[in-house]
Amino acid sequence: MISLEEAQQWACDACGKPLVMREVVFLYLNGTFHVDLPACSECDFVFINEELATGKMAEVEGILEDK
Amino acid sequence: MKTSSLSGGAACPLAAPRLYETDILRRAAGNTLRPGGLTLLQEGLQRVNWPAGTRVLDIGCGTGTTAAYLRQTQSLQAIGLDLSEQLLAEGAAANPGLPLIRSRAEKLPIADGSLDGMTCECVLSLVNDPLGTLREFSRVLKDGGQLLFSDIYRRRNITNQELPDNCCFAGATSRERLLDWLHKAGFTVQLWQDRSHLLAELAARLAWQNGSLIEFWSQFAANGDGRPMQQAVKAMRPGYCLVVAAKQG
Repeated sequence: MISLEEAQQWACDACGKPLVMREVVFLYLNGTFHVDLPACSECDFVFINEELATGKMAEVEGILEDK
Repeated sequence: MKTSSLSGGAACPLAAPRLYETDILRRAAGNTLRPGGLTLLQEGLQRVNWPAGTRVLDIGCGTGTTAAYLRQTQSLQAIGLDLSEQLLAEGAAANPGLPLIRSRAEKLPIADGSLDGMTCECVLSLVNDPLGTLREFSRVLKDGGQLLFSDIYRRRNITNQELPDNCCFAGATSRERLLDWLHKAGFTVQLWQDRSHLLAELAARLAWQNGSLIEFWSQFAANGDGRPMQQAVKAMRPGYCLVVAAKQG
């Protein structure tokens, strides 16, 4: 998971605003997950780093796909 | 999962700490401590004949969420039964006056033929003698009384020997054997539905909240290594079913 300290090192490319931790809802194949992730304080664009995308998110997708 | 009947728990990795008494499962599954929450109960209620006032026993009631729901929304005379003192105490505090009994599922302190209905969700796979337990359910039901049941089952029918001896998923059986047990216990199956996606959702939530399923299982493995458990569970392709069965008259 991305820490607050790591999130604060990033800024939104479109808005130039700093990222803040937000509760984000993921929906995938009827599965719903609430998680705190860094997002732009202006446009709410969510930042998902590679570790999360290829790690936990990939495992969860595989489980929900019943693989 | 929750249980009223985790007997012989010394060999079970979920016995210490008891998974169903920890916040680890509750964070992912909610107060019902089972896949789908109240979803399958609500679906099953559409298929049973339980008018207001029907006497229903919820086996493995945990904190009594199902029993309270049945009383409040269906006006049933619902009673909860569980083995966990901790969960029953929590349920009594949350729902003062809710009738809750501490007992094993295998030996019910209930008279023969005294109940109109029973619910048993995510419990049978944890008892030592599932056929005997189903016969016990049949004993306390009236003729024609209905059992609303959900549980894990094996979609790949490997033998118990292929799972670690201490794996609680070893208690999950195949669809064919489960239906055979119900028949031998004197039930006529009125509904069988696969709801495996609800188990997948719970597993996904556990993986998400704990980092991965291996990390989830590692919290309960005696040696701290959840990989054998994860591999064994994956090999049996666990599914989840909703069943409604009636005691033959």
